[in-house]
Amino acid sequence: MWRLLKAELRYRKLFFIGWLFLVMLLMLMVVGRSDPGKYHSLAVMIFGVWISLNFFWDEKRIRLYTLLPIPAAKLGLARVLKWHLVHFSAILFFSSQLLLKHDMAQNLESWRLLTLSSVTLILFVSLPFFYHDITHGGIKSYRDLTRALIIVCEILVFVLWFFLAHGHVDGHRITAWLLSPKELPIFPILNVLFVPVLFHASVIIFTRRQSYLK
Amino acid sequence: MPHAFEFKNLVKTYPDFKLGPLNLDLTPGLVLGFVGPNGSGKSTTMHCLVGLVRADSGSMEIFGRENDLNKPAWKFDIGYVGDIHVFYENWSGEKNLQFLAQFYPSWSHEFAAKLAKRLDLPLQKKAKELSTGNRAKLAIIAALAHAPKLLILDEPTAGLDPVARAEFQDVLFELMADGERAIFYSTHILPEISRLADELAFLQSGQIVLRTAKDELTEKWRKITFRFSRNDLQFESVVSQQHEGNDYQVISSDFEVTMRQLHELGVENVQHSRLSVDEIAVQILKGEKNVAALESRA
Repeated sequence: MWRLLKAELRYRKLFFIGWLFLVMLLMLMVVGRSDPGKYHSLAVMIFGVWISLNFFWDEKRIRLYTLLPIPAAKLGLARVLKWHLVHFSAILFFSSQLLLKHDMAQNLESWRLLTLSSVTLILFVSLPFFYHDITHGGIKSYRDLTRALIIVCEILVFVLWFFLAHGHVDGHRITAWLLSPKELPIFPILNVLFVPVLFHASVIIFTRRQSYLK
Repeated sequence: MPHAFEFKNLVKTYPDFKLGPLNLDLTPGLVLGFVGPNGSGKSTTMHCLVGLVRADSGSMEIFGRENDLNKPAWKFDIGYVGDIHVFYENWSGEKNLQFLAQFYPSWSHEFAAKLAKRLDLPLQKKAKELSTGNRAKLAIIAALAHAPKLLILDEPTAGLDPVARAEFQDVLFELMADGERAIFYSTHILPEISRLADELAFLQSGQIVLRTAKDELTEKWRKITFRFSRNDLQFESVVSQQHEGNDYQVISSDFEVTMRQLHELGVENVQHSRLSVDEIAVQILKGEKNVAALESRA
């Protein structure tokens, strides 16, 4: 699995480095700001476009990988992990910046907002995988229903994320309440819960695909 | 010794096509030609065998191991050249081979380099810059360099020039020399397979209509011509029959049986000639008679 990931990172190194650089730049700009929402929005949007541009292109190589002596589950995990490596690296980088160079307490909101965006990104990346695996040689009778549901889910994820990141209630930002240091750190907890569940679901659906031709 | 591969009741259904139930096996040391028209299910069969497509039902084993995608040890034993060749397009042929090599302990860089030279493949070129024929050559090297015990070849020479095609055939002959490997070779270019194959399986509309040894096929199938005054004759083992007046021309799937019948009828001036594998295949796949019935006779 690691050999496959390494090969993928080598093959798409310009894209990965470019993306990582951009995300880190955006995150550095967030540090110390009272309203970091717009930078997160930009990062999430760029990530969305990047995924859309590259996802189906890279999926062609699944046919090549399926022939290799690698268990399908590991192949499925490597496939999901590839997209999140940059994203996780960025969070790690951002967290280390906060810890090392800035006052953690002052930037706690930024960090928690980042974890909110992270949940969004994980969902955003996982849903096309589900869509692709179920509709391409998947469960035929549910193909149209799945397609519709996943499009609705993608829209809902973004609307919800946008509402939470930018919304105001009674003149106060929702993030100020949701991400208050006094409250439970909902999004980091969600992050920790979401990652294994969505990764596991991605792998399960991948290994049950009916076809790896496309 | 286990079979190189064995299907039992393999079924794969698409909205407009059903493959199987197929029962097929191959003994190590033999080359099985898999012959059928476009859309007969040859590629689907091979896709199921290598794990690119999940069969609806039935079992498939490769050297005694089930082709389970989560226990992929069986993949070390196979080399597959498919109908579509997928590579890292921006990498050179050499870099693509290096990528694949790390997954196979038995990979021979020396063999790969020699084969590239024999097939006249420029390994330094990026995959995306290779012609269709050169992509096929790269796929062939990728399939052979880890010395697999079973080669699964789906129209492998499509796009190759005649020289490369002949060279590839020679390579396959050399590989088969140790008597331990097996080749499952799908094609509709019959002269190619008639040189290489020990056995032939004919696939028509998702069903195997005939599986037989090649020598037996070319020995038994004959074109027979004769003159006879009756025109209501029904012959045994005849798959095609034409007559103009008293002049008959029949194609028999067992010429000894037909000849015996003609002799009993007192027919004289009977002449017979051998058919090429190509001609026999056309007769079988045209289905001028219920060829399924031939399987029990062959």
